[in-house]
Amino acid sequence: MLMHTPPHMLVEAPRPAASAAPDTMPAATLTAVNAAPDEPGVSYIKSPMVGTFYRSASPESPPFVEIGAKIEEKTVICIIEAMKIMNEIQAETKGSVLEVLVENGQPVEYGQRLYKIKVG
Amino acid sequence: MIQKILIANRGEIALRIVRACRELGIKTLAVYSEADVQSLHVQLADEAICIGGPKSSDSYLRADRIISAAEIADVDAIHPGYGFLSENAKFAEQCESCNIKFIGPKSKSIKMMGDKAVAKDTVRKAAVPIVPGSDGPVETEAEAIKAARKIGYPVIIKAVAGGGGRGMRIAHNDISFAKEFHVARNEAEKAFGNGAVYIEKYIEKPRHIEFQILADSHGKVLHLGERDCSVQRRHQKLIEESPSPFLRADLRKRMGKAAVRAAEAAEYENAGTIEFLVDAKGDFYFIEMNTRIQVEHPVTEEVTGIDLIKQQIRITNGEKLDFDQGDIKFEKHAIECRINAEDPARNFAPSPGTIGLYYSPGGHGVRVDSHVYGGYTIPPYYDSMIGKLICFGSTRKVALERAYRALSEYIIRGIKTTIPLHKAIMSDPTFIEGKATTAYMDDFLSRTPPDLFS
Repeated sequence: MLMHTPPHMLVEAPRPAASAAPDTMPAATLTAVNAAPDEPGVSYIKSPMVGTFYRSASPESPPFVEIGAKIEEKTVICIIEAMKIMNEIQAETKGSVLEVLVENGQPVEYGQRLYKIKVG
Repeated sequence: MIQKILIANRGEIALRIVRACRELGIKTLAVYSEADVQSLHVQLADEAICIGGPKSSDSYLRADRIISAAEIADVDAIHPGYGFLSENAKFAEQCESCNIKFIGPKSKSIKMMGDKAVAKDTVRKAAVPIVPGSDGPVETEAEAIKAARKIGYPVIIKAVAGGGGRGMRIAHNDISFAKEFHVARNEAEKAFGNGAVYIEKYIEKPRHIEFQILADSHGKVLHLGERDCSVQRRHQKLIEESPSPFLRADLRKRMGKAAVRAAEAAEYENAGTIEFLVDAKGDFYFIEMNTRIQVEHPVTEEVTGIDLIKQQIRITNGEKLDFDQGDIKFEKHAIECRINAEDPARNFAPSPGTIGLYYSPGGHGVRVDSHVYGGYTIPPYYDSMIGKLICFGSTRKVALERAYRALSEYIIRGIKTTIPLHKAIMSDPTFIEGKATTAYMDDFLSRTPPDLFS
């Protein structure tokens, strides 16, 4: 579900110059991060919860998926830790991974794009 | 020391909390639904995290996502605002167990006062007058009708888990009682997941007068005077004012003391409100306690000069209230009009949509608490209140005239609002004379042609 914001309704977020520390969530991240227009044949796997994103099951394990990996609906593509519980997130789509959009250990919000997928 | 607060709410109250935090030098984290991306407080907060889809059940009511956001952003405290999770004892408990301060009372006070029957019993033991009623919930129709006859008709059937004016039915005799009893139980089950009901005496044409409480964590409990909220439609408040045009000094004093005793019986901390019904003779009865900050808190702020949101944060920080009951002065008369996106000419049909030209009133004695702006689209997923207009002055006459003046300046184009309704009430003799009881709105609407509001 993509958020379409008509240009005339965008309110410019007043951003005081040096206030945003790298590990804080800037105000209204969702519009900025998800602003890229749809490309045909491309979809995005979005976070279904609020938490911390991990690319692998543990620090020693290899990532669940790498760029180019083929995925199915039930493929586990990442873990999101929320309230001390490690939630395995399934792809819910079929295709291959084009891009990884977040970093290991990064806090993510609901709806945030995690992976760019080539559909099919 | 609280350094970052998560605001678990939206709209005008979220903006109110952002403003208080700004003045206290506290960082703010706004959590928001996908429908609220363009919301003013989301843009003004230091940080923002999306917690779900447009529906409240998928966002503002998701305690798990809110606490998750609090953890990843490392907040010290959560302000729940009003509505949503603000009176959810379980949420307050979850905050407590995650070591996040809940800006409000302890979860046990929320639990105690959240059950209307338990609340009545608790305050009764503190010598606070309560409405005559069944002692707790009534299980069967036979038990219920026995209670109704003992109390004496007319009676009101209320949901134990209800509140905010919902889940209530009136019966004037045995025959209507049987039907209303079963309807009330069904409605309660559907609305609150709990079909338990209790019976109370129905007080005819009462005034709704509530007292604001502030209590710190060091045992000091104070009241900040009353608000008269008698102008209601379907139990939803439209106008609130302070002082009440009905109360004399001695009755105010007695009610204030009773309100403090009620809060002490609930072992209360932080901001809360004790609601009373007052009949024409001046007898008053406790009906419920609201264990949260309320919509109409600005009325008390303008009368007393005390910033209630800042006090809430200070109390949560463990600070002592640095004033006593005798220090609280009631210096102004204040009146608040709730501005809703509804069409009063068409039975208050909701009017979501995009606001075009927006001009809010100003000048001496005018305060506008609103999150809307020109170009803003009101989402259809939440309640219809888009702002509050609070006008105040040295006397009630000044406050009323000022409210009329401010309402006349207020422009909100593109949607329908209740501004014309409020203007009409400000010019109505019954209201001007201070004679409004909870029966006022029905009477006013029946004698006022709807096209007066278009």
